[in-house]
Amino acid sequence: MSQTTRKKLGFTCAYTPLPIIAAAGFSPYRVLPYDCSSAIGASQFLHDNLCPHIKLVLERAISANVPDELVGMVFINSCDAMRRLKDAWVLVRPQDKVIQLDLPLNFNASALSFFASELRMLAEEIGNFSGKALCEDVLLESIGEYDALAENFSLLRTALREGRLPGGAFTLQRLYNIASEAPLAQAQAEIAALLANLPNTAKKTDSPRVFLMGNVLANIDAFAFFASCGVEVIAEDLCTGSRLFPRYRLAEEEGDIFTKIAHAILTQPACARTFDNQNPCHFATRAIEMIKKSGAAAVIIQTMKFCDPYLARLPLLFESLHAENIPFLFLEGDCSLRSLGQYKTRLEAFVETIQ
Amino acid sequence: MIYAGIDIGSISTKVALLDEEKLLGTLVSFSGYNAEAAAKRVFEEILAQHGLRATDVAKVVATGYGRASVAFADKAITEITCHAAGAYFSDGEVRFVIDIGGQDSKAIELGEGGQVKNFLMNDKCAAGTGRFLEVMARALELDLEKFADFSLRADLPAPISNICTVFAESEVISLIAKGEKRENIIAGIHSAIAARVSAMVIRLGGASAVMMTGGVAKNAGLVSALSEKLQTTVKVSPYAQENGAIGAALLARRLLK
Amino acid sequence: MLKEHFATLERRLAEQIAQGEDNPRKLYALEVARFGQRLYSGEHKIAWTGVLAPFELLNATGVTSCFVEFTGAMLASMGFSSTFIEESQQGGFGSDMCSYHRAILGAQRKGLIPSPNFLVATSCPCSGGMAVMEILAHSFQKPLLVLHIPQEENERNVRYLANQLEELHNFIAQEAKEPRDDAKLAQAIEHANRTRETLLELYELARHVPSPVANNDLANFAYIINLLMGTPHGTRLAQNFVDAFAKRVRAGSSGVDGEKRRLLWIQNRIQFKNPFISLLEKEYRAAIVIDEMNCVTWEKIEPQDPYMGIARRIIGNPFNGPAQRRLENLQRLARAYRVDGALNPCNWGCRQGAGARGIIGKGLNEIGVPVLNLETDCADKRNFFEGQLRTRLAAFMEMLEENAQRKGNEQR
Repeated sequence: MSQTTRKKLGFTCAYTPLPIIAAAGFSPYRVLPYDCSSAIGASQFLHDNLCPHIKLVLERAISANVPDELVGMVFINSCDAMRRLKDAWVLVRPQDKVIQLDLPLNFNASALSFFASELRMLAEEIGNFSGKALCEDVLLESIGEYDALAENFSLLRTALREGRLPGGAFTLQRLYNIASEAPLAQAQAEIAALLANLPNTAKKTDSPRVFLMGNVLANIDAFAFFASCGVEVIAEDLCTGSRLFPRYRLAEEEGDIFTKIAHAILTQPACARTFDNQNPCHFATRAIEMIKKSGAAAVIIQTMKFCDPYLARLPLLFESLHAENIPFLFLEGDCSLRSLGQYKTRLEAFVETIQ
Repeated sequence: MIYAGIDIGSISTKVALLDEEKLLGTLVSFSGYNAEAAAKRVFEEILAQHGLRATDVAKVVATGYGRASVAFADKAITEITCHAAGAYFSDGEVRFVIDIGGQDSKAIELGEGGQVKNFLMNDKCAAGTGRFLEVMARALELDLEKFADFSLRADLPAPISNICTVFAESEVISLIAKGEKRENIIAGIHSAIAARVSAMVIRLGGASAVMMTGGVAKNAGLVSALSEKLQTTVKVSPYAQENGAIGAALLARRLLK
Repeated sequence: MLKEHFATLERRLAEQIAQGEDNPRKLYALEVARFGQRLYSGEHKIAWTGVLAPFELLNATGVTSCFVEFTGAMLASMGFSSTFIEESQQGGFGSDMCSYHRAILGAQRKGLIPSPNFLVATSCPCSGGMAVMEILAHSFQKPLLVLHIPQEENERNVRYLANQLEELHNFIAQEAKEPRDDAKLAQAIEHANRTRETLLELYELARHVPSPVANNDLANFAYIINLLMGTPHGTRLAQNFVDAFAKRVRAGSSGVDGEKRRLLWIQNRIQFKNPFISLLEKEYRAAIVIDEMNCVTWEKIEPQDPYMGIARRIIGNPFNGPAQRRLENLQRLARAYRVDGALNPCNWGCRQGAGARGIIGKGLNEIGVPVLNLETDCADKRNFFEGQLRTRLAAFMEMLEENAQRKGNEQR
């Protein structure tokens, strides 16, 4: 059954094992935080001072602004806000099949074994829900499809970095969003068409080349906005962007298929909530590595308000960027273009300083 | 027996007199800087208007931000409880009361008999209060009294995205500079306040049988914006500004008998 | 500075107690002072931890440990937190963060938090707390162990956490340079079980109508009890209160003179000096008969199988798992303690706790318990607006009064 005709299982976090959802016969659908003007309904359940991402996601559930085919959600226990989102979602949409995966905070043998069993549980539960047990062959095929998607996005990111992607970061984000919401085949078809027509040479531009990092920024108009302020985003580290479709590389891992998938997820490009016991400042270290690898001249850090994992890591990140003489601008938003509009002067001033 | 309720607000002080059966009268005056003096002044004035003396009044309840300063009051009761009582007196069907005052805004849920069942207050920032409107009126060089008429003539309300009064003022100035019509700006301002205030009502779990009280309720444009946000007709108390004082007088009659 | 503070506090309290002022709250305060001395003496092995760290393991290995939020609370109660919060903001930590966490981060920047031997982070209750542990581990350059506490209570998850706890025990022994001693742990568990029994007795007494609990009696009680878990000190503190409350109950006297209203306090108390508690007692005769933090939700632990028992306790904590679990516990407490209303401070920056504000409020309303959300800051006095809180509290108490009158009329 193609993903076009399938029921959908929603997700909200880049750590979600999409191949398992697809292999069980559902079409994964990211419930993106559309700008609903405000999350009035969400405040009935949750405090106003929670991250705008989950409030806007909840608002979509409250206002029934989700596809009719949506029959359930796979939540990840990634942070307090995600836990509260799940708590509220089950009240707003009691008809949905809701599963929450417990995501370990760091990577070690026992965390790997635990998360593998979580994934096994997920496969069994959504298999039962679909009425058809999930089989390994189908799962391997699904992983292959998502690895192919990951590979295509990698090519797109290379093109972006080299200045060869028409529309730049706007185009890339648009495709991330399509791949998040639409059936996989549709997304792949569009990406393939674009890859087939990529120019060989980079578009000349005087705009400073910037690395964009943060958490949730799915609003494609934000990318157009950055460009209008004179910034060329050449790479990003966002959970609605490059962290979204990791490669599973199963052949390289040991253990059964769920252990391999668990390994891939626990070692994928990490959000600030993930720990590295041996290296407590890994978030900043990893950020510097990515920025240098991208060849960007400067960094824009755009996070949503009230995101505790990011709030706490920012001072060390800023310190590290200062130490490396990497210019940066910090913006705090609410998933909408509304708040970014306030930053026009800052962005333009930032461009003037780095040009 | 006669009962009195006095509502000492930051801008105006209101008084109401009741007897055993009906509302005898109300009076609104300015507060000034001395809450007790203001309370005494309006109390004496309304008594004089009705040919009464202080000794004719059985009980007095004070409410509002200056309630603790009224030494001659028999009891101080919060404006939440008083506004609920006053609204229920005007309309026994009301279930949610919105009161936008000079410095705060409240949403109150009423139980079957008009008692307070739940309430929410915004007293932490000026957005969504009368102060917000004053700031905007200054920016638009318009009397606040004209706001309603202007907004009702809007053809396309200009969205005001900032929730902070200070930033919203800058945004309004930018809109003026862009040549946006004042009608549309004011409609946008009303919409912004309505969004903030209606959120409190929705948080209380309802959006029907809503009544607005407080001086700002005289602004038909804002009432219209609230009605739109809540998707229900928001009624306006016939005694919008004096509602708190009436409620206080009712409570003086009910509680202190 | 803090070392001297605790030393002075201990001396003063010991003198007062020697002169006969030996009420249970003073004895509790003395224990806190002694605990603070051990933490700041520089002579003891210490660890900074998350809230749900298994303190029996730490105490059994001779390590004085404290969860960072309690340190933030202590700083607030001493009147220092606002200074350190400002310091943390100067260090780049945003004002949206929990004020307990900012207080300790600021104090650490000022060199006022002693360097530990190691750190133990716990994934429950909050992401913010985890992040603070990471920052401290980086700043102190000391080993960090992270306990992943699964959300759902089932055998697999309990086993998973139990295995982590055993690893933790080895980690503690290694970092503290003490041999791992299972016999000492078994003994610590026995102490913990005795503490549990005494707490059950204590909280049962608090249910009495009128309640023997005065509003400050059991403020922050569970925190220090948890920190002393596995030692005889916690049992002794609890027993002091049991004796005092039993005496009050026998005498027919109440903790709050003329108790008129019974309240449930949700999550944390307001830590700095403020008139709220006194206002509740004197003006409204309202007794905080139960704090959400002060209840026993765990079964006795088998001393010979400590890790599984502790794991079950941690996973079963109402702050772990879905908000529904927490709500059910609150509803249970509200019913058991016959409360008229509940107060929820909704501490600024608390995503995990205050995050579920509406779910909790609605759930308590459904069983006829109104909730007042204070929307205040429990650790930063600059964010405490007395006038506004008085108005909200007054309106809430008026509401409870009306409810009581209606109930009285209905029963007639």
